[in-house]
Amino acid sequence: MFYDSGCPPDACGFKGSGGNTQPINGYDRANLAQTYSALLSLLILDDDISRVDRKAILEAIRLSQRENGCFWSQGNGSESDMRFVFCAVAVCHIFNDFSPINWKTLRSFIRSSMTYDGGIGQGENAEAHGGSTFCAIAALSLSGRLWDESILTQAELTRLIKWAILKQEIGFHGRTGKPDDTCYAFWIGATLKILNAYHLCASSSVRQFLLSTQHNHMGGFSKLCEDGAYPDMLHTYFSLAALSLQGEPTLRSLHPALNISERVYGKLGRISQVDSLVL
Amino acid sequence: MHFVKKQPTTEEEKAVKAKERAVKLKAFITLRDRIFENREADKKDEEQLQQIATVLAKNPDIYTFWNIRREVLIYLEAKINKECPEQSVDKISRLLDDELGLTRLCLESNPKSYSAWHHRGWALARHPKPNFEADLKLCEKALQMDCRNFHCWDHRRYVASLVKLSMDEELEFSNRMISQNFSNFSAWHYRGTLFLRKAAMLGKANELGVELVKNELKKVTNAFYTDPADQSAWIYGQFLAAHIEPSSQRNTEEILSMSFKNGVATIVFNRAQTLEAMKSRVFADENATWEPISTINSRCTSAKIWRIKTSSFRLNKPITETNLIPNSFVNRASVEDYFYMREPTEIDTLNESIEHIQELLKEEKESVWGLLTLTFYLLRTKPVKCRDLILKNLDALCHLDQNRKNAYLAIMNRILISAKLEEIDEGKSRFDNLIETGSFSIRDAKIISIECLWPLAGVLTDLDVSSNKLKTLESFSLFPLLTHITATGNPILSISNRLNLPSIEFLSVAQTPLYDLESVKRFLGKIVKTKKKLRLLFAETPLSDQSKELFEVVKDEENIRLIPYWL
Repeated sequence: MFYDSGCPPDACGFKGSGGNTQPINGYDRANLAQTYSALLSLLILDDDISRVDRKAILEAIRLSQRENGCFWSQGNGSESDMRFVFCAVAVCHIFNDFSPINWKTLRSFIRSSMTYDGGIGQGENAEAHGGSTFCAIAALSLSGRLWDESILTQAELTRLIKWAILKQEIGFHGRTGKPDDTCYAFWIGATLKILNAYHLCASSSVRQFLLSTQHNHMGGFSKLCEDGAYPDMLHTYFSLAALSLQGEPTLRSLHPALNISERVYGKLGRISQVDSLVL
Repeated sequence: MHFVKKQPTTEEEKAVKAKERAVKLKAFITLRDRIFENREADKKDEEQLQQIATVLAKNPDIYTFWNIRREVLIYLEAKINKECPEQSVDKISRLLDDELGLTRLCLESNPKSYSAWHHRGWALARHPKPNFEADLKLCEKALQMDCRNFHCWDHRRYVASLVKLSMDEELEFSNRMISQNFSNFSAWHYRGTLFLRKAAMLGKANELGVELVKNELKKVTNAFYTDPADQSAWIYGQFLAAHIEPSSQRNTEEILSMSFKNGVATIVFNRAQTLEAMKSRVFADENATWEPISTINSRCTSAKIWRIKTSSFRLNKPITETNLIPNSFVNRASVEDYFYMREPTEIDTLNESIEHIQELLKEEKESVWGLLTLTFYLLRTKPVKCRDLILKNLDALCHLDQNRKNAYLAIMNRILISAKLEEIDEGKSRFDNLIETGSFSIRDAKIISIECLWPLAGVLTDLDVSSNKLKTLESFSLFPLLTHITATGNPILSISNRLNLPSIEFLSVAQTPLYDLESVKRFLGKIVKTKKKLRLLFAETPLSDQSKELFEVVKDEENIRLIPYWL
């Protein structure tokens, strides 16, 4: 990761890989998604993240927020959409410090990303999508702004639940009319879980769909259930996470908003000494 | 996330493929190294562009090479401007036309490449004589091949903004896309976003107006007659119905119900309040305890329902004109709205559509989307008059659309309760009776949950839900004033250990399949600790004949009476 000394303040955080502690050039910089992943990985591995330069990361987050409220993933001009809103808020939640975030502009970004059919897209004018909907709802949950109507009203949350449960065919798909894909069992499933509405979907069908994509000899889960499909890491993880949301025996329970096991989430509570994190 | 389907091969085929791959790999590595060498040497010329183009044509997702390419192009542009400024327009146009050609080639084989679309947009934006029409045509063609390709929709929006296409031209485009293919969800979506933008520009955010909605609904009707199974038109129709007029949602914060008695104030807001917010709205004494009530999270920091133990109590803003300390209050208007008990002021905009859907349903009796949309329209326009039809439709949907059965049951639940609240008994409505006496009874109505009664938690003291379908008592924790609960004849198996009933005096779980002895012991143990009185009736349950251990728990308690058999 990049430390504070010598590194430009908005480039601090973790990158995908590489061992240098100072950026090589203008393109070599930290990425919000990698920072989120790195911090969670450290927590899972029992690190107490005391060696992480939290001040530098929080400052980088502050500098990454754009005028429209969204966040750059990797500095000015890089990818920027609801995924990085989630990463920014999640990192703040881990450090229990939301001060880098301008909620006024973030509020208008989230609201402008709400679509006419009740879901949330990656940004303005984009179609409602399971991934971006999770990112927005999880971000609101992690920052304690989900139920107080400061950003989305109760009526809007109800419409969102309706949008979400309409994404179930057998499993879940991410946009209206698209085929079911295992990872949406998490994106949509966790969104419903956070909104206390998981019971409104048909969970046994979801389970049936997930299991149908399991590979016969190799194990693992694929994106779709079709001949010749191969499992991959991403869909395997999210299938397991989705099964955990349903209380699958032998799987740990999952904290749906931070996307980490409750066991590790408990450790985070002790590290940051917060005694009531709002679900 | 992409994955590549692999084809099974024999050993021989495998060897041949391995050789082919090795050759390709060598070619790629050679080019790649030369590109990086040239960059190190700051060599920005045609050769570099050629090499990069060769690699990108095969794999347009290597964004590093697009970045290097842009470095070269910017340099060449500056060079042209310096060396032959009179010809710069033509020369730069040709330079960038090559970029349009390259990206087109890439997109033909890989229409979802982020980098290729991005580069095309980049080139177009700096082109001195851009041919936007060509790009709009390209997008339309690409969308005909895959109407859901969001890269293409995003690019087209970008081009439209560069050209400054008028709203009407854009609406015409979306219209064309929809008439070519009714199940073009992205086109309906685009149309919706355009109308919302137009409304916002006219200062009427989220309001589409009667005329527009009526016209659009005609399109929707055409679409669902042609293909009733496709979701796009139905969803668009529901969107129109929800935006006819500005939202009449109450945006203000309100108290829905409350009471203050025996040193306990119970207040229900329409919106969750933090402790800080509560203290600014309500005055209580120094030693007051403030308890937020929620079934979601026992350590919540904000809640809609609050229980405050205090000897003195006062609201900081009066809710009725004269009364700052109402002993009991219910916000009738808001609660009636919540329970669909009030017919909204007449809107006839949806009437024609409602008739059309009913026509359709005669032919297509099992059209889930038809039933769902019809029910949605009726809930919006005639929730009271058409209550029975709404319930009938929801019941049908439970069978036809099993995936969302629980959601339909939840809506039916609230409507059944509202029907009950309106019932007249001995000259007054049950709602009026509830407000006056705190008492409500709904029996044998297939109720699955009482959670939706939460707005009345400020006054509800007595609830009879006999012979319904409640599987758990947990939501009763939302009603801290309940002294009497009759849950006889419900499918209850145990008493949840999260159940919290601070005012309870009588609880009946008679005629239930209650079998979890440990859970009842735990519950009684909690009551014993509070030293309160309780009568627990559990006649005709599996535990009736196993009550010895329960009597043990309460043996020294005069105030607790266990009733295992009917008296």
